[in-house]
Amino acid sequence: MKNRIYLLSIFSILIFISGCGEITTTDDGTIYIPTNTPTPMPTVNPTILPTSTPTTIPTDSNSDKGLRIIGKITYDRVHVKSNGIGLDYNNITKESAKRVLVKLVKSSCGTTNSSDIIASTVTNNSGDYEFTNLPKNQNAKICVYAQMEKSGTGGWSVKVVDNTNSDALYTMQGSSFSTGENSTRRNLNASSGWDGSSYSSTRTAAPFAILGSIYQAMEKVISVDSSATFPPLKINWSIHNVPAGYGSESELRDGQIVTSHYNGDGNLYILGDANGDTDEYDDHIIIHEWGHYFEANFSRADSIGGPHGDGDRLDIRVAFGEGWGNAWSAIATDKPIYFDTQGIRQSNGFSMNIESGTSGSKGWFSEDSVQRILYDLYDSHNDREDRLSLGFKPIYKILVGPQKTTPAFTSLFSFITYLQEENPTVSSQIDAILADEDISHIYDIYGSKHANLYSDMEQGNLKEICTSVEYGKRNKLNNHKYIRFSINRSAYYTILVQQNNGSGTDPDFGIYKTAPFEHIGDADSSMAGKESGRYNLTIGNYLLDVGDYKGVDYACFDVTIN
Amino acid sequence: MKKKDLILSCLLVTSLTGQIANADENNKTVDNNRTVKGTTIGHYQKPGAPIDIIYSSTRVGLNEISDVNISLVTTVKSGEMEVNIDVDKDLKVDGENYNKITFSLNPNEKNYNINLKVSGSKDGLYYVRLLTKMNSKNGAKMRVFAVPVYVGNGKLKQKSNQLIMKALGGENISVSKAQETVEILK
Repeated sequence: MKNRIYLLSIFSILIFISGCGEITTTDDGTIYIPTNTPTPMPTVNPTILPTSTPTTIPTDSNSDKGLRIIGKITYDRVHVKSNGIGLDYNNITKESAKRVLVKLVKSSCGTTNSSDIIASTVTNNSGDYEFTNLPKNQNAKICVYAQMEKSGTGGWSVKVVDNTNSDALYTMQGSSFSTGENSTRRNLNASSGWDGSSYSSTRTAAPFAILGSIYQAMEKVISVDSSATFPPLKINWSIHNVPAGYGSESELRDGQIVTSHYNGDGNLYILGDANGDTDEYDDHIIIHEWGHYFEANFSRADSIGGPHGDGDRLDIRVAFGEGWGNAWSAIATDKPIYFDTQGIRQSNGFSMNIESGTSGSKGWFSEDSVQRILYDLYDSHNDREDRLSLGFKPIYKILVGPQKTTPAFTSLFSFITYLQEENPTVSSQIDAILADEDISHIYDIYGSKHANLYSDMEQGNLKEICTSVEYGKRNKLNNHKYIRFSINRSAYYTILVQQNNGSGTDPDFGIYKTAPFEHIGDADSSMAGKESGRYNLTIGNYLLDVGDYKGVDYACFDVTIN
Repeated sequence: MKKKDLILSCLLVTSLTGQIANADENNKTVDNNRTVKGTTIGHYQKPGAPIDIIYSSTRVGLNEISDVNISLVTTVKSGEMEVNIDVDKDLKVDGENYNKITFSLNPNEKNYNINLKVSGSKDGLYYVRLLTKMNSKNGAKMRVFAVPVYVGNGKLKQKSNQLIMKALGGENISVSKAQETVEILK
């Protein structure tokens, strides 16, 4: 299919820019050191904020730990205004940087020599760190990396890099000092860089704010599954990340990331364009996109992506994926108000209530309905027909269990079917929540009594399916139809999809084996009116996803498998 | 630079502008390294206003005029679409510069077009930013787009004051300074 899941499956993960062998200074005074230099050292020492004069506090009760340096790592979090529109720079709090990597080094955070690293640790859930038994009178500096690492089962690996600058890991450093002969407390804070009217200095806090949102999402998962192990995640954030471009490798290096998104391959891209669209403090957006990472790694995402919005009647796979992302952002934060801040001085934007918002369309095809249903299943607040408070564990159990292996495409139909099977005692309450969205009882994973989306065909016979663009193109309801078929003998088969009601179409199809669920392939040539593909199919059950790329108003196709 | 608010019907704007709607909706390409095209159609978007963009801009030398063609695409058939336009300060708008346009949406139109002519006297990669807004039953929704304009060498200028260094393992790190407080423990 031309419209593949999420944008960017073609992206390279690692982008390194070759330097030209010279140290250059940009117009604004930025010093750039080529990254291919073996061991580049800064030729200009960074200007360090004057360290406040040390104060003395009474007693160190940890004298058995030798010379210590302890402290707290925090970052500025700029909150949204109370009306949900725009950032409120009068409401900046210092939040604990949880589980981030902290190193005590002899001179430079950029050391390439392990002997220059005096000690290394990670902060706890309060942002506290501790170095013990340190050498006395040693020149040192504290470095804090926008990186969370925990190895093994129940572990994670998350870091925030600058995709427009050699994939450099964001790091903040304290001043140079001597460890002296007395233990000290050194608290480090990452500043927002806001001076009252603009971001006039480095936005050091942004990468740590993003990590804070990611950790909040991971904590929610851990709360119901302490052994959950999170595959590596790289977050690409830059002040140059703008909603432009098509997502090519060179565009990503320029910051043209199209939108904040998960690329399906271990990379989150987050907008950072001041006076345009910044998302580092829009925690619901970060967690929504992380929700797509969760789907891809813990559950299953069959969404075909594409634009979506309020009132849309969407392909069932898109409706579930986007509804899940929105609901998840409210579940993880326990805040149902989703907001996106934008515009000049980040003073504009919009918000929506995940629980009580209304929409132009209700139903199993609506991301708004999906998000309200999922959140109502979770939350402890009774409203409208919601009298259920399942919490996250039953939802998680379905997502990582039967929803991941379902032989149908992932949708509200499959999710609710399994949820009711697993929780029969609350089935009527679930039906009541569905009814609030104009959805009657769901009988099976295919939504058989709700929609005519799936049909069956026998291998060797001809099947007619029809698509339409009544609700829009490409990823809207009825743009795609799904065919179930079985293969009883392993062999090569030719699948042919041919328009039977005129001309003008460009049919495409994707083929999936259902157990274990596997994407076999796509046929998406530009051939007018028909599409074909030859596949080596083994015994089992399959799904065929057929759509018309051209989006002809009403198109019918004959489908054969021979 | 003259700036003013303008309310235009879509038909008027369509008549004023080019045929960007005929641009290839599916590929961002650079024609002979002169024209940059892009679109969001068919690609993932975060939640927001149901609006897509198709754009093109000509890559130009210093002080040459780049023709920026923008088509905002929506299937919403009624109401209004507000567009606030913000041009990078190093870009000069040739002719009238509208900082706000309001389109009246109608059932027979999907593409709402804007044409700008801009130039720059310094090498760099610049942007025309569009903050779009549309009302819905679930409240107002917005979406921001940026249209790139390549001038001269067209290279991105790094604006941050962060140092790039190598760390253990060869990884690049981008270093900025922390706010720090110190207490002596006795």
